[in-house]
Amino acid sequence: MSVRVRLLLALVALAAAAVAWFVVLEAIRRTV
Amino acid sequence: MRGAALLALAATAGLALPAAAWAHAALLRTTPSASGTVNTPPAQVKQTFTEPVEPRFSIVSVTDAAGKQVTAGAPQRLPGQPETLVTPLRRVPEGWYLVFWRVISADGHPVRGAFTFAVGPNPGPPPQFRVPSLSETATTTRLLVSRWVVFLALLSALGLFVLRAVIARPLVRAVPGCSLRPLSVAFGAALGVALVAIPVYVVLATAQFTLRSAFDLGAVVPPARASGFGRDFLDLELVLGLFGLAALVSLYLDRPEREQRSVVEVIALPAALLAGGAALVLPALAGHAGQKPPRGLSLPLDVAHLGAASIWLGGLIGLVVFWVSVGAENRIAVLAHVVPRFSAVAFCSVVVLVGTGIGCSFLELPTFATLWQTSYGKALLVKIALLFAALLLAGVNLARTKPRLQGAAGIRPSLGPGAAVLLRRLVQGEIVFVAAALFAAAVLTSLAPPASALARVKDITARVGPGPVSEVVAKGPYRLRVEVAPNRAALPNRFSLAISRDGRPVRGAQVVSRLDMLDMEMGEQSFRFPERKPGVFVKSTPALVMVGHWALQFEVTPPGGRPFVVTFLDKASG
Repeated sequence: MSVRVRLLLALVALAAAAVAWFVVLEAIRRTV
Repeated sequence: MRGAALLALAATAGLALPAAAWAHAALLRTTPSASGTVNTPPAQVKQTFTEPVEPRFSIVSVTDAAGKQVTAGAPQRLPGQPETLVTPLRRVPEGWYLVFWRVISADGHPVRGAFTFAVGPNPGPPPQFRVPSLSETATTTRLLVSRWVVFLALLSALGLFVLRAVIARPLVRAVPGCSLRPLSVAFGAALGVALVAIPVYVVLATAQFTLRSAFDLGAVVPPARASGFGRDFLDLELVLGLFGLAALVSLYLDRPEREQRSVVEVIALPAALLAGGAALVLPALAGHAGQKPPRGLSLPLDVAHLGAASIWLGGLIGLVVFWVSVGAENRIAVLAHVVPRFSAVAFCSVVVLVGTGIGCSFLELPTFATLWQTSYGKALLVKIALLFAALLLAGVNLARTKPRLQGAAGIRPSLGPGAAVLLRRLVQGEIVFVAAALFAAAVLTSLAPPASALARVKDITARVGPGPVSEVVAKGPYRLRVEVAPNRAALPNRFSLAISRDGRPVRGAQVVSRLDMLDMEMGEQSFRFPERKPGVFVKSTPALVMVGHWALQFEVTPPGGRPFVVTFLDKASG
């Protein structure tokens, strides 16, 4: 697998984490 | 010394508390006021709760003495005040009215209650209302089991990922021919179960709380996000899916045969761990920690508590996976490498678990006695006992199995087989106890934590109810017979206090009763009791406006004597 594909996948993981925290922060804002 | 330390650790862990003890909506105040009389017919009944309530899940019935409904529409939220429900009324004549209400708390649990009010100026005597059943619980078998499966799968998935990606990773280099694939498969399986269990649980809960069949998906699914509870759990599904994506990418990119992680691995692993941390916030947010202050303290404690539990549980399951998947020729070497690394992490997890549990206990329990006096406390004691048992087994592993495995890997290979068998048995026992403790946590989350008002009640003379009360108590030279009938909520109850001294009635005493609702903040009610017969003080009033626990305090000032107080902890039924 090329380095570019591996980097792209890592960025996908990073984006998933960012979206997850966005959802959580939105839930916190809604509750608090 | 080590044994003593382990024992102390195990004993302290007994104070560990559930991570998510969920709150329940409590009725703060009503307009018209409960048991009060208004001189003009009210246009509406206004109820203010301790938290926002969803009108679509709410029932408010207002009936007159004949049982005729007098509401003019469905309950609605007051604009800008989501915690206040307003139910419009038709123009009603003088008389007494029964308000029966049922709402769904932000955590998804139902709360029911009833109270009366009168329209004056001459409403007449309070009638005998027929109050609908006031009991409804979230502790049904299917809800408990589904909640338990959610907890178990979620925490196992997170813990297995940490074991695979962080703790057990160097194993591939230490034991040639060893694979981490079984751990990845176990992680995927736990994640899959969690992703299925969460929506199933939300559907089952929403079906119960909307009083519909779980198979009536067309009616159950649309309001699933209408409650705070439903929103948080469906968000958890999304966040867990994102964690699964990040974790699978991280495992796919991981090359454990290389000691140094590559740049892409350094990006993907923290991303997956961060997403996993996000998944721990939502159960805490949906629970008690997210519902009442101090959230800044209780939420981090809850998240840390869940995280520590997940590392412990997932690691234990991972050890069994290793035992099953690794061939006999490699088993001792694998366990001798993984067990010490996991033990170090598990020890820290248990310390965090205990510390956060103690922190939560200070926030949850108003008094130490509520630990054995309330249903919540009793369920907590069961969980403590199960964790205690798990920690004892963990202590044996730490003190016996781990050194033997390390010895077997070094100079005494003969210790290996016996240590491995002992490890498997103890770890399986630990898993059973931790899973059972999680079930106890699932029960706890369906119960209301003890009311803060309990801390205000001192020196309880007797616990009475449910049902009619007839109790004789002695206070100094005085003998008191206290009667409450029928001791039911929302009905006129007859409170009677007969005071005697040396067998003779005590005349002319001042008797004041104070009633405190202990399950929710209702404000104190106070009544002066007139003397109906020599030494007998009687008051009839629908003062027990709610089902649940009441503190009945009688302040007695005998003529020429010193005043004294007797306090009863009463349970009024519906």
